[in-house]
Amino acid sequence: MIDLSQVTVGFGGRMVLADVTFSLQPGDFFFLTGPSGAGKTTLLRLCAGAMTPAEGEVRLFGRPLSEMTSDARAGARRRMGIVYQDTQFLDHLPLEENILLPFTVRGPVDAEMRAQAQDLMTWVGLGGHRAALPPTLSGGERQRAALARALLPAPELVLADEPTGNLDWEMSLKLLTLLIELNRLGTPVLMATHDLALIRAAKPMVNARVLRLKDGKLTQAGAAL
Amino acid sequence: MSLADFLRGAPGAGRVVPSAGLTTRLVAFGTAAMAFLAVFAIALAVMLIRLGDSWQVDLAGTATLRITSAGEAREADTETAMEVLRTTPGIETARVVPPLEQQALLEPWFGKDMPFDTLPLPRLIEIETTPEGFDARALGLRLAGEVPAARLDDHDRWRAPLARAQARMTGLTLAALALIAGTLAAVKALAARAALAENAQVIDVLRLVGARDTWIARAFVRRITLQAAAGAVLGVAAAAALLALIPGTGAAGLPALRPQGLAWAMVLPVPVLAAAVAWFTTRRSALRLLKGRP
Ligand SMILES: Nc1ncnc2c1ncn2[C@@H]1O[C@H](COP(=O)(O)OP(=O)(O)OP(=O)(O)O)[C@@H](O)[C@H]1O
Ligand SMILES: [Mg+2]
Repeated sequence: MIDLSQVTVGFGGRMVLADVTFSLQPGDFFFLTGPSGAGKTTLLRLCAGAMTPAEGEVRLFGRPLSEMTSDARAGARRRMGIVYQDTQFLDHLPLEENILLPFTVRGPVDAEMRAQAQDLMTWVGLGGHRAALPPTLSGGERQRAALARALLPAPELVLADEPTGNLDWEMSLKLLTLLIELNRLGTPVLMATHDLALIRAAKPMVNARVLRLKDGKLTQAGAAL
Repeated sequence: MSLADFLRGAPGAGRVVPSAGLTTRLVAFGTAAMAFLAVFAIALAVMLIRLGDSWQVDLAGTATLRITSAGEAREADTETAMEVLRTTPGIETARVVPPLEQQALLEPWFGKDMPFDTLPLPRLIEIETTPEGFDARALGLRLAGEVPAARLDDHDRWRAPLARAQARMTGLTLAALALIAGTLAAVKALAARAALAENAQVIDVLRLVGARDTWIARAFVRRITLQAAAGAVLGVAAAAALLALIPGTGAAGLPALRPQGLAWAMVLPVPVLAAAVAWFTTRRSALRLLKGRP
């Protein structure tokens, strides 16, 4: 569904990704680890079609990114559930409107969509914050909201950048379990995380692979984890 | 994105752009100022066109002959001149202006107490020409021979430069209107640019959730266009109020700057045009800028 082949990205002469090849297929569950600044976010942004590589090819749903119009990229993004690390909201809109955005940009929002959003918000523990403005929420609350927004339109795949970074253990496990449930239904998941304990906790539940990004190289971590 | 789409508005698109941006308020102000100037330029253009028309109507086809000789010679010269005029082709009628009528013409300028009968006033002959007109040069030569004290004033002599000046002023006014429209477009392009820069995060979020560029652009364009329209309405209202305060009849026989009757309707399209310019330019620059952003 997403294919990066021999992709190279550099910022100001510094190589962040060097000759990286990666493929996300239906049913896959990947953890992406690596030191801070290794390029995890960069790799996720490539997968989301939010940037283009200096070299190599990115294919989204089989189509080369370089040949996609901006409308086609938007179309591809509608099939993805994306959670960025610094969760992004429209700060002047209430949380519920923010979570409904994937529907808003597609067309009219109906009562059923609203009910769906409210269910999801309640499930991630934000039922009481529907009218809150994003800047007034805690870091963990915003992360939960971002995940709720990403999952609301039933995406075909999930790209999540540190979705549990600010969460307590219990909430982290709860969200991880949700992603694993989705994955069992066939939705591929790529999740960047520093949390090795979380990866270990996932092990009995899902056949996940752990990728490690370091010095621009992407490797599959050993069975040690 | 068609105009119909735009007027209907994308559902929810209006709210995704924060409203209180400095840019949108400056846009409203700039548009109000431009609309204000546009109304005055239009009023000026209408006045100039009317001025030209009134000259055409009042003065075309007329001429005046002045008999400047003194004493008894004046009556004799007037007789001779009338004879000459009667035999000049292209002259419809010639009429000696009676002294009393002439006095009435001068009174507004010199007052009632002026001793008109003691003044060496020239005798005036009013001439109306046929539509084809007469040969002013030939008539001038003939009069020079037969009535040296006659001075022909065929009005074209001073009407032509005035008409030229009027045409030039009208042109300048129209150029000013074009400049105003151009400035408006430039302001809108800058506004779109500033609004998109101010709201980089909004664009990132909208892209993240799969918004198309046209949808994002529409949200910004709608906001800026509505602000522009509101500003233009204010500017036009202010200018119209000021124009209405100007006296209805102009000084020294000039038509008034204040539009009369239907001419007022000329200012109505200003807000619509301002909004159209805003819509077109903002949309263009927004789409171009979005295209430039990954
Ligand atoms: N837009 C950018 N311009 C310049 N440098 C960038 C940009 N984006 C990323 N970088 C650099 O690329 C490197 C990798 O960044 P990236 O965000 O992908 O790291 P990361 O693995 O996600 O780190 P973390 O675990 O801290 O989130 C960093 O050194 C960062 O400074
Ligand atoms: Mg990162």
